[in-house]
Amino acid sequence: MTHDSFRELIQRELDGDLTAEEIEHLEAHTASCEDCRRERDDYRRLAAAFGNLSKVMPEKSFVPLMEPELPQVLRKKKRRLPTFFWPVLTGAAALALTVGLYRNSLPPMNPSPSVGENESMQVLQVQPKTDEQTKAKAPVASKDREMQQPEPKLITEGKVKEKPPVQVAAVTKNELGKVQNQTGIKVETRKVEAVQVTPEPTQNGVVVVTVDSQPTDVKVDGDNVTVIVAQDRPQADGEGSDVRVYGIAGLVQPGDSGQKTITFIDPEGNVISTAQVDLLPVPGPLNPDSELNRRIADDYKADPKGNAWAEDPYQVVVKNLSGLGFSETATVSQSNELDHVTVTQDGATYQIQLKQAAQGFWQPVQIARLILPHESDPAEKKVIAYFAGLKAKGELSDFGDLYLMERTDDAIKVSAFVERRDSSGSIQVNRKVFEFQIIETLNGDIQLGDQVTVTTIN
Amino acid sequence: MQDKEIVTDALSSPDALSRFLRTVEPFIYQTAFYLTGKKADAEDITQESLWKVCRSLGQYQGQGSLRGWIHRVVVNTFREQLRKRKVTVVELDEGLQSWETPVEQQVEMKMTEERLYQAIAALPENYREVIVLRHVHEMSYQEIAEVLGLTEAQVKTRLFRGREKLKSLFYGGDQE
Repeated sequence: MTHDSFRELIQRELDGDLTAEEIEHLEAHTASCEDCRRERDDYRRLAAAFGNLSKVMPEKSFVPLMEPELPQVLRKKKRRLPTFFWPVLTGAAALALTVGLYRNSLPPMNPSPSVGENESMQVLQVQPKTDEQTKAKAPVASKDREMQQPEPKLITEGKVKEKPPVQVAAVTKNELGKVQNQTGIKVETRKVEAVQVTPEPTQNGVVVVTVDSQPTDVKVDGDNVTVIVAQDRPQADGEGSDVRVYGIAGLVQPGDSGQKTITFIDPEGNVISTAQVDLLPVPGPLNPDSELNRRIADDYKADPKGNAWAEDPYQVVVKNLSGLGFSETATVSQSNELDHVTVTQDGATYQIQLKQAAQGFWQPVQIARLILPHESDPAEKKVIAYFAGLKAKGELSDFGDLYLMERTDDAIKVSAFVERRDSSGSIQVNRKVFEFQIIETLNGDIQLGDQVTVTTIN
Repeated sequence: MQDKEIVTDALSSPDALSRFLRTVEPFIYQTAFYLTGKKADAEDITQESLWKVCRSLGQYQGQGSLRGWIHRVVVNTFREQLRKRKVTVVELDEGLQSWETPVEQQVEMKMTEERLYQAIAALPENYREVIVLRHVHEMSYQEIAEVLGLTEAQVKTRLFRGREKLKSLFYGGDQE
């Protein structure tokens, strides 16, 4: 054996990886070879030094900060983020970044000027981003048990030659045209057919565009959202600027106002800029003890005649549009059912279900959003396919509009009128609620679980 | 309890999940500290790793050891932070909290310890990872291979070279 072979044995000995025969061999060699004996001693002292290292402990545990979020974490399993295309674009003054979101998850864009003919636009790099890569910062535990603190997710990034005039901008996903007005950068949506994506990174949130900086933390306090933005290391002249597009999802919860003020601050707390956004409400049940519902009850009980509007479900919605999370300019209409009121805003249709209290006033108990056949996320598409399949198999004669009642990371609840022919041949029509489990396959596809819970409402 | 049972138990309630996270937090921090050498970075990585662990714990199906699975999360978080250049690896000289014998009784040991910290911090990342997993956490070749996504042979090679480098740094570079 050579010295090199013994060196290997000396090291493997530290790992307890030697056979009795090898140990014997090594002992015999080191008894006669001073170099190897010294080397063995050195390694042994080195290994022993590890055993004497002081314990290192965090000064304080992070777990108490996380505890308020744990019930929600147990309900929602985090899933991988989409594999987006990552275009890097160059150009002159106006540049285009393509936001690789589902086109169908984005309402029609505001018209915006197209990139000039002289301006080159090329895709330099296509690189999938994993969840690990897109996460900018671990979320900070929220004081609000119901609200998981949102975190910025990098959607796409690119380099521009000329530094845009604005460092950071926030818009809703249906106002991407505004980004060009504010930064000179055109952000477009692009349909990514081949990729199954969920959750959508701006769902119930905003699109944030940064220049040579990145959001490191997001704090939500009611309708005020603070985004801490850290500057990148200064780049040499002529290297251009890095423009990044982030989604910050989950800024609105069911029953929340959609009007948010986004304040960008630097790590020292200096305000960089602010933006106002008007987000659509999130489908979900409304707590009877919510501020809105308590106010309706209190007002009516205090003065039933003065607040007679509370005896009419339609009037309750009209009077409380903002409290329900809609814009005051949303359109309200009565439906065929007394306890359901329809609201439309920004191309989306909602149904508000209300319930009458014993005293006679009505309170909203559920916000549901119409699932549009061509504008839905992967799980919603699967739900549509499920109903189409039941109809194709003859298990249903027909089904009506599908309304999304609630969506978590691992479940989706939908209400629909279904038409079924019974054994006597007569047609039964019922409103039913279908609850599906969402399963993410290993390749990131979304599937619905086999177990479907069906509840007949009427 | 088997690893899978530990996970099932941890996911049974928020309290159980909290207990589980408190149990794993010290060794997550320890790995993060030795990898980064800096208290603030170690805290960032610990916090982020804890979130990742608690959110994806349901995906652990008993494949490989739970300890290895958690360390993979920590190492990946460290690498990701390095890529983003958020982590500046510095000398391991701050944030130590010794719960052991008073320092004055162990001056020589402390000096050895300091030298070892500095030697670990001076290692290239790929060597530092295997050295920390092997000598701080006493993981087997197989566990290290699982954590780092390497073959056992690759782990042995990397350990061999890493330890050679560490020895040279530890003894002042006159041993090579």
